[in-house]
Amino acid sequence: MDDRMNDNKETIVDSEAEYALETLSKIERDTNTYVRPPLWLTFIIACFYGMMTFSWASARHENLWMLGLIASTIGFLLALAFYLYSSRLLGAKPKLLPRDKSELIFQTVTAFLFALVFLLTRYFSTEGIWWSSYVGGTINTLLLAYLLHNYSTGKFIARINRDE
Amino acid sequence: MNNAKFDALIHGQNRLQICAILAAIAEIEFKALRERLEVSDSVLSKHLKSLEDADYVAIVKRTDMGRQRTWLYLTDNGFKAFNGHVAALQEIVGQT
Repeated sequence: MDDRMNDNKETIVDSEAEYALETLSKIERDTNTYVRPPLWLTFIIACFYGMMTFSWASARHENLWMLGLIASTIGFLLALAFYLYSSRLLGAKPKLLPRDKSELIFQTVTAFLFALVFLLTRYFSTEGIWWSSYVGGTINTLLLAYLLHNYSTGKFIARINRDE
Repeated sequence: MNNAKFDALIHGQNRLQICAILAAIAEIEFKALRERLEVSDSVLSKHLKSLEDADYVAIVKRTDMGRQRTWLYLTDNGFKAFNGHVAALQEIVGQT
């Protein structure tokens, strides 16, 4: 164990504080790696979400895409439930709700982005731009996969570990 | 509002790591935390006891599929203290 951090000290010097912050930053990245879903599961969850976006944008009165939306929503929820259940078995439960202001802001911004892509995809699709469903579905898939992989603790981590 | 407050209890190497891990997730099992920190049961228990006494960490035992598992989570007090401690460290190095 590094002895630069002492247990019983009321005042610390700059270098010790800097070292403690570096340690914290590393722990945050390690914890993110620890709790995030494996790549194959990230891929499945993100694809189901992208499919939900695509299906809702493509659904019309006369077609079957509403069925696609229902199927992809069920698939998405099942994949998410599997992730939470397997995390519990492995001994670490991921956070579902924000605990402080910075987490709340980060999660609100990401939720807003998802909703915006979801709604704009539907809007442009109903306006006759047929390829918007593909673009919106792809954007939401990639965005969710990126967030699940890099920010699975629900907190913005300024520096992502490039050594992975 | 500045809630930066240096906390000597949290600042110890292992306790800082415990709080940082618990702050990032909802709950962690004792065994999983021990493996993350690479410490013995007794060392981890000692640190957890001091954090529990300060009402920073809560320890809950639950039976899951016939097996008793010990889960740990950071209390609201612990979360505030940890955030205050991080803010105090940032103030010291001039990051705020």
